[in-house]
Amino acid sequence: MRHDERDWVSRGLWAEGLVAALATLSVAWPLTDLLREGSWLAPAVTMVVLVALGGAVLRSLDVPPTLVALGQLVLGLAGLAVIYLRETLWRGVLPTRETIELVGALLAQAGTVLQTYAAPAPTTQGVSFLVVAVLTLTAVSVDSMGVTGRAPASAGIPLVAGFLVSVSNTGQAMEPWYFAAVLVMWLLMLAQQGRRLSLSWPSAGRRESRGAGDVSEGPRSYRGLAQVVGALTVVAAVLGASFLPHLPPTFFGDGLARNPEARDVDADAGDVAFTETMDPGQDLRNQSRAPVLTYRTTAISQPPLRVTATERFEDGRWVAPERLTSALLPQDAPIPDPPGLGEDVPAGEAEFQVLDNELEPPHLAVPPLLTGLQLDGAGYRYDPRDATVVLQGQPEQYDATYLTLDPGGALPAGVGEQPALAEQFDEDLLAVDEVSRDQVAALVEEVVGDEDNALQTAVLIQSHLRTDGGYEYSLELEPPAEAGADDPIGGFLETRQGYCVQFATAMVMMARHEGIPARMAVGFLPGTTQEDGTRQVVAADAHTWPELWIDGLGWTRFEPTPGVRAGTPPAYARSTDEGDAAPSTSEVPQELTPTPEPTAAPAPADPTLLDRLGDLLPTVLRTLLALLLLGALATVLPWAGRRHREAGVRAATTASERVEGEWQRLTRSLSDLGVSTPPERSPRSMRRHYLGGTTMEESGDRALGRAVATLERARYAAPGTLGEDEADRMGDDVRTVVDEVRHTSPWNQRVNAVLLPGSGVAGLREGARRLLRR
Amino acid sequence: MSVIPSAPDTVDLEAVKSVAGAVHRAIATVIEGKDEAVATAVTALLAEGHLLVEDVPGVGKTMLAKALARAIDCRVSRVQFTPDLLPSDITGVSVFNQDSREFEFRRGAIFANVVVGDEINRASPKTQSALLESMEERQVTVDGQTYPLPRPFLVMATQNPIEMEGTYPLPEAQRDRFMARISMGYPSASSEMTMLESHGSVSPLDRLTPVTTAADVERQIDNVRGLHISTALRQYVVELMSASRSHRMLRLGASPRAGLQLLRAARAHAALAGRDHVLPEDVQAMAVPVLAHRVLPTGEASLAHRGTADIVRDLVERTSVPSGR
Repeated sequence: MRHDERDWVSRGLWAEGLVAALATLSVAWPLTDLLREGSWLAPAVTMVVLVALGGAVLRSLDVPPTLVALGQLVLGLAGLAVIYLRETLWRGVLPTRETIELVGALLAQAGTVLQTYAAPAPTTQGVSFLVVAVLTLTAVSVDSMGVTGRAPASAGIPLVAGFLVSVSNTGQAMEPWYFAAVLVMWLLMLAQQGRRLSLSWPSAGRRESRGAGDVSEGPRSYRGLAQVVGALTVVAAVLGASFLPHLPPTFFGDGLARNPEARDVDADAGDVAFTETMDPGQDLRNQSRAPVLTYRTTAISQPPLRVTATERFEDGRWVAPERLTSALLPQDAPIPDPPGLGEDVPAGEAEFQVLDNELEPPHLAVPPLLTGLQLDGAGYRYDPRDATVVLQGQPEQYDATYLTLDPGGALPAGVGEQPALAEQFDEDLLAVDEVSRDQVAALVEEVVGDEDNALQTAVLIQSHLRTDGGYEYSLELEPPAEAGADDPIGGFLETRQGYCVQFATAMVMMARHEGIPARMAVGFLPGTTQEDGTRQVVAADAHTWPELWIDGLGWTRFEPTPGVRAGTPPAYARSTDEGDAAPSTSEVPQELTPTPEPTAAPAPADPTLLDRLGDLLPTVLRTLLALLLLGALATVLPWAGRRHREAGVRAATTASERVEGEWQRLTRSLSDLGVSTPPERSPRSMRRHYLGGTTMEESGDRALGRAVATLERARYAAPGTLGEDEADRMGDDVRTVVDEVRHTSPWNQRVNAVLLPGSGVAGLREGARRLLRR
Repeated sequence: MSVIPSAPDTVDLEAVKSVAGAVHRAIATVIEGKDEAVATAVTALLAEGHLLVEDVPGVGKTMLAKALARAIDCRVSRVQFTPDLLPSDITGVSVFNQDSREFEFRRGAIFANVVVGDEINRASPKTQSALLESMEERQVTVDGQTYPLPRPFLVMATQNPIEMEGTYPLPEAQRDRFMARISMGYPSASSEMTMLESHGSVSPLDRLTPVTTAADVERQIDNVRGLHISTALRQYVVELMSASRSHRMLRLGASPRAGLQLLRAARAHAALAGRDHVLPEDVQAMAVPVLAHRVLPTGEASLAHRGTADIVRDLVERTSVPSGR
């Protein structure tokens, strides 16, 4: 082995490592759209660079590939620990029990955020940790497969897996350059490998001297071809995708409506029409990017903006409420406190500042639980029945204050206990649609059971519609098979497909059936955050949701619509055990500075973690059992392979039989490594076959020559002339040859030879045949 | 004298190599750049087989035969075959001796260690068969009396395949008697240059002095007989023979005698390589010279201009080598 400087550098595969790191980072690029703040970026780049550098250095030191990957993994874990878990490390080095708890808390927090937020989600510490951890693992696997293992084609798998996370979660058509970047980096990895393979065959000189033609001509012409094919692939993939008809929005891809190509389709497209029909279906399909509203808020978790509400459902649709001037408060009168909200419910006040308002009067979008309103110029009147602001003129800008319910597990006891008294409410608020009454009744019976508490009932209904019932978000409604055209609720419950209106209507009807007064609110989703920190609402952000009267809370917002085009369920309306037992984790996403305090409050976090582990126990056991079985199965083939390879040696009684057995071991071991078994020819021609099919160092060449000479003597010399020591040496030579061929085989072939040896299959087949014969 | 000595226990490979090497070098001073042909000739000599040298006129057939004969200090006879040559000219004749009043046997040309038969296809079949019979049996029977031939005994016959007028080509059965056939082929340009230079004044044959004796050659022949042939190798030869019989390009495959001679030739080849055992490579090396003149191609093969040497090479290529287990 030569150990000069060039060797050192080329063994490290520094350039390949750099490209692999860039490929991993290009996979992470679209995540910038998925997460609000870029605080994860610096740690992510640091970790990927750390893994790549570690790999290159370890390879330069000629560390075996397995250890390189292991070293990178350890390095990655250490880096993660230092960046995210430093305070919990013992003397800043060793992980402690607190470290594990913090990891659990961070992951739980990330899980909560990712479940409750539509993209872009806030980058809390937990989300950042999760993203960086996954990226680190991706970097390790890409580097060890593509660079250390010299199989960049298989490195495409972790790359694609990472990319899928972004694709399936953006909820909008992805910009083509994200895809092109990953593709180009991956193709570069493949090209580098191809170049290295063709130009630095260790035996290139030898092959040439055997007259196998000029090796330098071939790769050059193939490289040109590969470059053209690669470039064409990228162009075709990007162009092809943009020429394909974009399918109607579905659960994952419904963000097509936000396709920036359609920004300037229609100048008037920004108009919002839902208040006439109480159905935002038209608006949801609106592709205009013209902002309806631009605002700032002090709250992190912004509730949807409410415009109006209605309680009248007639002939299968919601009817806009009649505004009787007599029912309105006098002009610019102070907004009354939200009715029914208990004094002991923890609530905070938040500010809401609209910078640009395009919504036409008489409508005004304000957060729910409005407490104060300052309009720029125009006067307002307030309808206390459905908490709607009615305008005469259109204000350019306005400010509002509103309450954010912040129960944090401390919802006062008895909320929702008291059933609503029917006589206190308008009868419309409790009227169930006659056409679909039976279907709603059956479903409520199934979902709610005998729950009495109004809040719990509402949460059960919400979870059923949002997660448990198998409903699907779709702007296209499928025609139901049974329900008639006059029964949209029945149709929705049958097809389980719809958008916010269907979900909200179903929840309203189900709640009313249980005697909970309910109405439907219409407004906007909080919109998207702009670079300057403001939020912008467009027509397609139109949204509807149910409001239920809960004793102790008053009119309360729920969010039964699943998917990305829906709001965040309010904290008090998340599933009860979460709300009661793990207040700190459920609350985390609402904090302004995303530093969760699980260490400060380990007591409430602990039982949740343990509870969750308890729930997971059967699954974990089953998985372990399956893994054990798989492990047992995985050892059968290697074992059978070993027996099959060594069958001849074991059965041998004389020295020449042993030599034949060793030769058999050689042919079978090499065939496991992908070197074809030579046809039955003389030993010397079999040697030529192996020399042509493998690349070995000189010592391997010599060992093969000795082995062949010994085999010749065993076969053709007078019996008894072969000594035991020669058979022993033959065994050593065979081992040398097999080791050298293994050493020069690609990584995947070596793994294949260990885990799935062809000799194992042959051995099992032979064993089965023997059994059958018996 | 006709008793074949049993193989000695130990084989003196060095002696074989030195004698064969000396003969080879001696011939090489006469025949330029024909190492392969010379090697085959020496191999045949050690395997105690007869040689058929076949080629166009003037490439050195007779020269090779003469050189080989001259290199060994032994009795040499040369017969120029003509249509009027009689069998008794070859074998010998009983003549009535007036003095002793008895029939006296006058030995023919065949009674020599090396017999050079020039242009064997010009003699009548009757004469040819007289030669060929004694080649196989290594003895001559005249008037009921049997006379053994001396050892070593090597016949080198030359034959011109081009001129067909007035010739009697050797029938298949008789070609089978020759262990090996050599084609000389034209010399390379450089060899021809050297030849024109050195052969200009005096024939190098005249300068050739014997390098070994008949007795020595005989000892080496016995030595070669002692080489081990394993079961695996015998299996291989049997497979080659049977493959030649079913080859689709061959009308007539190799005879059992061909197998026997192939093994003997392979043995000599192995001894010359300094090995005390025979490898498949030895068999393969001798397959073309030993088999090519014995097999007959089908009409199809002749039409496709595939020579028998070509077909034999193909045969070797396709036949697997048994491992003997």
